[in-house]
Amino acid sequence: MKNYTRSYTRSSLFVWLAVVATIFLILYPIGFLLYGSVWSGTPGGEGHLTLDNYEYAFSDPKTYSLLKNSLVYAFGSALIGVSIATVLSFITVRTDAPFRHQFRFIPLLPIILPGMVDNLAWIYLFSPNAGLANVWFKNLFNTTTPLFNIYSMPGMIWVMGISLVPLAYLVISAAFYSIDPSLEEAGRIAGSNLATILRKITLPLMAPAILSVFLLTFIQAFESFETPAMIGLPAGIDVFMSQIYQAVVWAIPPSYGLGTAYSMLILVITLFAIYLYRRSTRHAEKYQVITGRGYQPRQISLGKWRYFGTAILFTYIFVHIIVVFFTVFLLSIQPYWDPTNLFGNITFKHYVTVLTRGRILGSLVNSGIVSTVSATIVVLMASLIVYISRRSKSSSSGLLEGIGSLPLAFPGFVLGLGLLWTFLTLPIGVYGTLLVIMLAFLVKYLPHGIRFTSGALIGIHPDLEEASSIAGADWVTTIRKITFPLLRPAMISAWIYVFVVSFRELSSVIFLITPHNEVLSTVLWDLFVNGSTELLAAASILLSLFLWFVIILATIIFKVKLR
Amino acid sequence: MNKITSAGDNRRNLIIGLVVVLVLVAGIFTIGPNLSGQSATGNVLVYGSVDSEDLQPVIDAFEAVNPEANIEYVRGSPPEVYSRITTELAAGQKSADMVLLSFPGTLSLVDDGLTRSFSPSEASNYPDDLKDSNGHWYSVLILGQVITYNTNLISEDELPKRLSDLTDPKWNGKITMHDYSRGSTSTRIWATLAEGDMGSDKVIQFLTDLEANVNPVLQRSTGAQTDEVVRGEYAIGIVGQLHDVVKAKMDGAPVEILHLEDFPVMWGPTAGVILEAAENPEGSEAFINFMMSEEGQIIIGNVDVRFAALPDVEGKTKHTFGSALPEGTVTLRYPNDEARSNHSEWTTKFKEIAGA
Repeated sequence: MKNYTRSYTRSSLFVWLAVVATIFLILYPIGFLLYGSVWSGTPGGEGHLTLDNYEYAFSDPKTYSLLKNSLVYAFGSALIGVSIATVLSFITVRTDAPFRHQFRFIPLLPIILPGMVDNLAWIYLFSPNAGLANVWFKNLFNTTTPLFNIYSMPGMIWVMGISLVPLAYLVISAAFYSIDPSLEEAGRIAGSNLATILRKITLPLMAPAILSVFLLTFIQAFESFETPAMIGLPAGIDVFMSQIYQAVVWAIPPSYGLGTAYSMLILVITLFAIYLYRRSTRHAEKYQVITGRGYQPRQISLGKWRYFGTAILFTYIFVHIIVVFFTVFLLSIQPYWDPTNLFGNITFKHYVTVLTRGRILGSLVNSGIVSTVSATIVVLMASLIVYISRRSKSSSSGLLEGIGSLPLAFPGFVLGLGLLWTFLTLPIGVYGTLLVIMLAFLVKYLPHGIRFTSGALIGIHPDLEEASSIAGADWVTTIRKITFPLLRPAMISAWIYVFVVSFRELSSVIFLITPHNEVLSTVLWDLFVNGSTELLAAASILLSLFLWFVIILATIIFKVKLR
Repeated sequence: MNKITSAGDNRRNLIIGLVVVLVLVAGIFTIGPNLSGQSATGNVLVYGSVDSEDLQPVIDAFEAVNPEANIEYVRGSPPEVYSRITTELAAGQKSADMVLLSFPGTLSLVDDGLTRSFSPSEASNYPDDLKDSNGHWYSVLILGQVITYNTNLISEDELPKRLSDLTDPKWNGKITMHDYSRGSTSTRIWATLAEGDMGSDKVIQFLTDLEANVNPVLQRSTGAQTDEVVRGEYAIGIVGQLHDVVKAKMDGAPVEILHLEDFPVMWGPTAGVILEAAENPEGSEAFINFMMSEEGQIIIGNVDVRFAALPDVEGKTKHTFGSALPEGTVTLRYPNDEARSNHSEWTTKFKEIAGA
């Protein structure tokens, strides 16, 4: 009895310590961002408190056009991404389309692509005059009108939308597994055809999951930077992210106050979206409890449409994997881009440059260190937060998971600016070190780690841990011998995910880079800004191969299945 | 037992102490940096806009003759470098020791009072327009800014002859332009032309007509803009770096310099400056001095493609600014004094025209 009391006291103290640490880590940069938005000077520099930045932002008519563009872009991208992912998930999980099993994991492949590579490929395919597809179309039909102009709002929406498919597919395909087939079976027995069953049973059952992933992808698109910068700016379409970047990095002198004021406005919008997301997820979780009872998804026969289903899968693979990789590869072996002569001047000099240039290799090492350490800390911290939240009897434990999930609402840029203000203002000597980049990744990916591990912990019944305690094992032994081995697969999956996505992450670190902490994504961005696109393409191909090597190696070493 | 100290002992200790301090101070001045020798030790942190691989040969040569020195070079676009330096210094953080930026960025740092005066021994070999009379900047290499066109997209007889020809609506959607509203290179170029013989009315009229009739696509950097012309996305680019054009032509790219009767080839140096807050000013000065020396300039002029600043090395390098241009090309240095002093006004004016 005495031991239990001590254990609960210690546990409660631990919970509070974790709450305070998480609040500090997550809310501190946002506090500094707020401070920066009402400061007249540069971060840490001389100045005074003022509302001028907000006054300027709200009185400028451009702000409203930024808002409109940002919302249209994010909404359209989420719609495209979720629609494609829903169709792919349905075919691979629920139908009898041939080759569906082989294609189950393929939609996830592009998740390793840095955002700027997806953009680069579509630019070199559909820029009006030099895009490969447009040049072929014009030559074939002897016309001067391009097939599609990527430098447009539809172009931005398409590129961002298709890049969101892997994330949306990950969530929606899991939800498709969890539908109770007896409801559809009842519909079928009642004489409904496939279309009616889909419309009246399957889609309504899937609605909470689809809505939640729609909000998640909406936030991702809203906070994205590469597409607005690489396609939006040449198209003359400004959104908040490109405007902040221009205000802080490209303007002489930089306008930090305006950048942070815009950031606060964005934060309000994304916080509202995340509030809606959490509401819809709550329903989805309730719904997911059913999955634990072991339903097997029933296959829906497509009949004569079976091969049409396979054709859709092939089309996606062709469009988003083969064409994108092939275009980037083609670009990487050109001395200069000439869409009418792609095989006449092949060169591998850009690969030699990538493999011999000290700056690229140095940043690769930095990225390796930062991503490894960040992924490890994220997984450990997320597991701890989830464990405390789900197992502790403390009243504050639920709060912990809520705070830990809050950074989902922080666009990378906003987080980066907040951290920049924090570390330039606080004289703690970490500005310009890899530690700052690690902290950015830790905050940004903590919610992802929580999502991975909380799902797994829900599936571990507390009876197992209670049995261990009754048998005399202390808290640490129970975690080491019972909880950790059961959580291990989810933790490894989370580690691989965070490692890969942090390796390619750009927006949250672009303001934090100094000579001593350059990472690969920022060096690649510099290549793009400087017009060295062939070199960027070569580096991106090598990076993609490297990340796949890491993923395959990790799955072999840890004997985990990709899911 | 406590030792009792007499007043005489105290006086003696004070005198010994003062002598020791004097000896130490004298020693520091005696063994301190010998700037006339321009040798260097320690780490020199350099921020700059020159491509890393272009600068590496001269860094290697410098470190070979100064084995105790280490040059740490970090590249960024001029606005990025400027933002980083001003932000770091305002926050009291460590920043670069020295900076190698294209001329507009250099002048912004000098005009902000962030640089220090120095006098490298090689400066005497340089003409006045390649160094600052107050000793704040010294030229290391030369940058040329030219209008370019894609030879696959425009035939010889279609070529515009004057600036105003570029505002013909037939070029709508076919011209890309380095953003002139950001306060960087293009702002300085158009301000120089406006403050010079061309006059402000003509420059403003040109830019206004260009925006109205042609709607040029504004680019993030001169390098990106040249890349867009090379790959044929746009027929004409205003303005690109001469060395990028020469390099693209060496690769066989269909790009050429567009010569207009009323638009000279603009040039300006990439200059070396030492920040007031530098932690290693001696090493910085030694490195700048080395780059300015004949040995350093020959190394720079043999890079594919960079143009040395020192006129004396012409004939000893693979590339020169003069030979990259056709004979008789009119050149003009930017910014002139008026454009420099009215920089803010011109930036504001150009923002209005560009609708930024």
